[in-house]
Amino acid sequence: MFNFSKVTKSQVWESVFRHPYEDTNRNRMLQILDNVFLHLHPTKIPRYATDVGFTWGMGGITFLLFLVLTVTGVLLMFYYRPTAEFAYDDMNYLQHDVPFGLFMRNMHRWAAHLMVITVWLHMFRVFMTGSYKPPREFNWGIGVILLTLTLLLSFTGYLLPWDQLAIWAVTVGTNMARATPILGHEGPLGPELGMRADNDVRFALLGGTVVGPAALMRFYVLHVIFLPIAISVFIAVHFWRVRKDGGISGPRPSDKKK
Amino acid sequence: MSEIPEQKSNEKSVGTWFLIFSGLLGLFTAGAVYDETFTRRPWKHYQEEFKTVKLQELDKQLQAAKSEADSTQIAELDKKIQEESKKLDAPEFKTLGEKIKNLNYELADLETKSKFEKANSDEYYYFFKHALQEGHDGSAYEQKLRETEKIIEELNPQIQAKKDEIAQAMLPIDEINKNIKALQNEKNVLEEKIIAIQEKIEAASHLGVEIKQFVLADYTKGNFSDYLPKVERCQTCHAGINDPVMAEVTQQPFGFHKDQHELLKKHNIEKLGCTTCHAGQGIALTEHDAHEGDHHWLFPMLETIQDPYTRANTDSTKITKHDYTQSSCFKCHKTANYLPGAEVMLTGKKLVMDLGCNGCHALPLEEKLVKNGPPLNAIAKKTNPEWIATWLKNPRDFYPNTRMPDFHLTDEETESITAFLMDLDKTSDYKPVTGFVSGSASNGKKLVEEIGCQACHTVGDKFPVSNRLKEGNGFGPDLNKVGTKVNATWLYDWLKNPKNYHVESRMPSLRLSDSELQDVTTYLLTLKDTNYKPTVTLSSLEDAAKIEAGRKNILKYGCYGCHNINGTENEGNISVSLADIARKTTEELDFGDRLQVENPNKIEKTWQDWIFHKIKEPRDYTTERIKSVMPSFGLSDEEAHALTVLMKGWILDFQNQEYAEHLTPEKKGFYEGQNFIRQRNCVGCHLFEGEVGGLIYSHYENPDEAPPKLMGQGDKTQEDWLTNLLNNVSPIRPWLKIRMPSFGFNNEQVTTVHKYFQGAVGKEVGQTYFADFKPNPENLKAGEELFNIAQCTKCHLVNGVAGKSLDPSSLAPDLGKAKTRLKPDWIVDWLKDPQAITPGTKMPGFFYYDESTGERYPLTQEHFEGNADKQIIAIRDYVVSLSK
Amino acid sequence: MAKPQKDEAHIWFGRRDIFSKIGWGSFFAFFGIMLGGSLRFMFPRVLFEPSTTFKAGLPNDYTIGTVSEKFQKEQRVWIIRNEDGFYALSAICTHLGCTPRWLQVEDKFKCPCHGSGFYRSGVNFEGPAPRPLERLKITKADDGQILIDKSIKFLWEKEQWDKPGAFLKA
Repeated sequence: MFNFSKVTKSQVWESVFRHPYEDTNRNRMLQILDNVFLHLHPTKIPRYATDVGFTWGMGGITFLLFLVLTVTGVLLMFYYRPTAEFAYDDMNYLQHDVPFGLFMRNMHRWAAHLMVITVWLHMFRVFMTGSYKPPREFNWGIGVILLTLTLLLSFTGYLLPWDQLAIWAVTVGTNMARATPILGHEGPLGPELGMRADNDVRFALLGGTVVGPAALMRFYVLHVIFLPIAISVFIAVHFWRVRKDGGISGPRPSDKKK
Repeated sequence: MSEIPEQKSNEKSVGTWFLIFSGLLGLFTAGAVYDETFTRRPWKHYQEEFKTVKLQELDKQLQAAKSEADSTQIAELDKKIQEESKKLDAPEFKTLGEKIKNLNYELADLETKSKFEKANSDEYYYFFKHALQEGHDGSAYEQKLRETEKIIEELNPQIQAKKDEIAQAMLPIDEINKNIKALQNEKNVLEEKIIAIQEKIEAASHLGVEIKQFVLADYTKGNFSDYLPKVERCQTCHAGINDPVMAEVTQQPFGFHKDQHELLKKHNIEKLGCTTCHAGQGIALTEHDAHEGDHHWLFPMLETIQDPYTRANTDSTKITKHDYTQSSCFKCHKTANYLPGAEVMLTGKKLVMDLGCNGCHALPLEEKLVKNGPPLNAIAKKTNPEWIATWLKNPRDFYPNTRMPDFHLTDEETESITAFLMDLDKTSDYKPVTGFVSGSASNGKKLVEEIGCQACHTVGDKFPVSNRLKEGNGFGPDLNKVGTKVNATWLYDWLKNPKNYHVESRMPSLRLSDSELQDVTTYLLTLKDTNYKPTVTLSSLEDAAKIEAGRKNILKYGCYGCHNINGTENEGNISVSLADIARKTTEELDFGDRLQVENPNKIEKTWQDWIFHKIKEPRDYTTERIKSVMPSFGLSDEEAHALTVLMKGWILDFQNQEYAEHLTPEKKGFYEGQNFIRQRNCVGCHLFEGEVGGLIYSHYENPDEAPPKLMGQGDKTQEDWLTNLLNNVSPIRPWLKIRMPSFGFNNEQVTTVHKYFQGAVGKEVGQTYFADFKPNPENLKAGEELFNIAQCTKCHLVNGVAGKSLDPSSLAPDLGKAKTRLKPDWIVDWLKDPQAITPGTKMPGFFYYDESTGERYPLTQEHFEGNADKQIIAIRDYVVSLSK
Repeated sequence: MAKPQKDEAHIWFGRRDIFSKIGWGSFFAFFGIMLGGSLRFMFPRVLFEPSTTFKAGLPNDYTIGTVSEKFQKEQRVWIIRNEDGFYALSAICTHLGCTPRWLQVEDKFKCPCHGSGFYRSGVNFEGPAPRPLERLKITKADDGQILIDKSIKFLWEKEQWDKPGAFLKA
């Protein structure tokens, strides 16, 4: 039998894992404190925070899905060219011949669907446990922004396969922007303020009056650069505020005493 | 914080959950890898199998080639080669070999030395030049450079001397090698086939597993007029599709492309790919994705499409499975009328043109389509109101094969339309000629049977109408019930001059005399429908409200689409355009109640099922909210199938026109003419290129009594002569009883006929011949002598004068017309070998051609020293000079 | 925590933690496969590049003893037919990459840039070119046409001109 302790006692191993895995309070804290990836996590969390029945783990799962989307998304970018000539074909190549191409694409797609669902469930849980109440009302606001960004990421990604479904779904979606008050050319006060099909908010979103090559490019840049950076910043603030506002909210003190 | 009591850490284990979820994760990952490697890459397996199959096939061919080859001769050559190579084993050659080996070593040493010095020289040259460039002192390098150059110069003659020495030593060996090579070449010639197969085996044994693809860079245009590449990977699995080696292999998917019409020679796979014709998803690499796709997909492989007809006929014939492939032919060959292999699609196209779909729908056809029915403005003078009403109520009751569809009119609608049509006579200025008196019906019957009425009409029960296509005796109306339908004065006038009633009528004049006309009219009027009973009781047809209601019904049902009706000139198509019908999805088609589970007539929810049933039972999608007015044509399953196949190709494609059939003006004219000869039923009497037409030939036991075959007519006759013939018919073959009718074509139509004949032989329209024909007298004299030797006048007339002919049916065309009628080259070809041009002709071949020697035997040895070609030209010149 | 009875620390897996090891094993297998999959993902099966091979017509299109310049412009290749068969020369001067010209009368390739000269065989004999022209892989395709693969080169100085593929026997 291979003597595993030789490896665990080696200098290489000890340089990576600085503490032996001894189940003491101190060690648990050090593991979190010393780990760059877990650094965002508080060193200590209250007992009820580990209760799946209470938190559903939805925030964490959402973040995990975000990481999955980032990794698969970056990989997909190696093959995808966001131009009208190639977008659909590149999607097809991923689908049919690139090794693990369909796997990556489907993972990206399913993770995106799931993330929207888990964000909603997270929000539902936060609402039901009253975690939006002071002092956490600001973080609720951040959460709403994160929800919007998640939906926008989902929407911008919808166009990228450049198939009929994508083009028509986004056509319908962006047609709603025509009716934006003041900024849309079919919205209240829009025409009176000089809004036309070629200068309103929908035009700014599409870079044209129809869903064409310019819209594909805009949606691509929004999807892979602008929105991910924005959502990353807000995620960081969200996590930071969770800690600063006293960790994950718990049951009322009266309940705790039970 | 101090209020909160110290809590112990949570020691509840989640190990079970961890195990379950990580186990699931592991399982799904393994599943994903399996899917990636095996499920989704069936082509790997196929290609390995293909390699085995191909090698087996090649091995079979190799064995066959080996058994074919002359083994004794090969063995003899092998023996000689061995003898020659044995000579090299002799001791003197052994020592010589050693010597040459040593010399080669010495040469190699010298050459290496030279090469090194060359390298040094290059280096010093660079440093020397570099020094000069930088302004340093380069004299040291220059000196070294000169030294190396000197060494090289000294080495060169040494190397050359060594080479010469080797060449000298090699001479005896070279001699033997040359012999061996000559023998080897001789053997190679004998084993040519075997070697070729062995080379293929060698290549096949290195076949790797890879995706094979063609990229058609500019095949389609996208939504933004940008070219989109089309990727074809069908050959990744169908590896033998373009591989002649696999011609005999039937194992799918490795077989060679079925090619009975030489399709692949005309359609280069590398340029057009596979999905251009077969549809499907070329880029996909699994059978399901490539062939069928999901149910939302518009373009599955056409072989997977099934309509009720193909579902019912899969067992009896495998061909129906591939019928839908023919719809692709339409995309490029829009104007073609006869394409081998596209018979079903073209039947559909003929049906569309013959049934007059253009009356109500805009169609993607490029042909000029006319209104399909007769004008109705003066119908009151042609027939009687009872017949009109009976006819309208259900046309197929009267003529089962009629193309007039059944509109399922109510009695009220029928009566109103009848009233309107009777009233319409007031707007017409048609006046029939008078002068009809009864003649001899028996003589009329004889005339009808002789002069060719049966080429277009059904008369009598001898030749029943075959189908709904306007071809042969189904071209014009069935005359067996005409006596019930028409008035005597109208019929007499119609036969005398059809253009009087209907200016655009396709009915020709047969140049009947007045008494013949009376006989024929009398005969036709005796042909009555014994079962005829008016089905609608008519009353007060003059009622203005009724007439107005009739006008509205005419507009509602779009009668003007097929019939000329005064007052409707500005009405447009009553129904939808069918130009892009194949792009409709099932969600865009209204199936009415026919998808309901409990409906006994439930149909499947596919595009082709909808179209098929719409054509067959047009009103069956009607629901309480959505009414339809399309009439029923009483089509058979087969006809509905042909129409569905055709319409599957009606799609406005962004296809690059570079890929479509390139039409030369000749070809375009040919297609136009093909269409024309069908529209005028020339095919009823004559046989044309591609064995098309000649539908009347079955009426004649003696083929000489039938109308002539017109294959290769463009090579044979001059255009001016044909123009003259069409404008002013005079019989060329006096023995024929059937008459070439006077069609009264205008100039444009005559040109269309020329375009057909000239286009069929790839010639331009507008040539003239014999314009400056001046044969030399010697030729003429020899020609006359040969003419007499061959006894041409025994059968042929010359300027209307018959020679010694005995039997009128063995008469041959008048040679006096040769100059104006025939083309010079054709006369030569005809004299050379008449059977090659018209198999079965009575014209004898005077100049026998011996294929084994490639010589043509002359008629006599005296003329032109027995040169057959010169004799033929002499006869030609003499015959042409006979014209007055 | 009770001390282990035996030296369980030295045993790779034991009764107590087998399920834990299976759990972690699956987890790392997932990561490993994902990593491997991602790496494999970077190597596509098909490329959309201009083909390095081209078909040069049937052998009978070439007369013995001629240098064909038919593909010089399109592919930068000369096809030379001699008594025994065919070879293909890359029309790229080994000096600085100009396209030499074939001079029929003088029976040589001459580079117009710096005057390098090559024999019909491709061997250099004058001017600055350091080595002979490169020969390209020449074979017969399934349909009998000559098939030239420009991606496989045969160099004289590496003594590759005798290798199979450098010469196509007639």
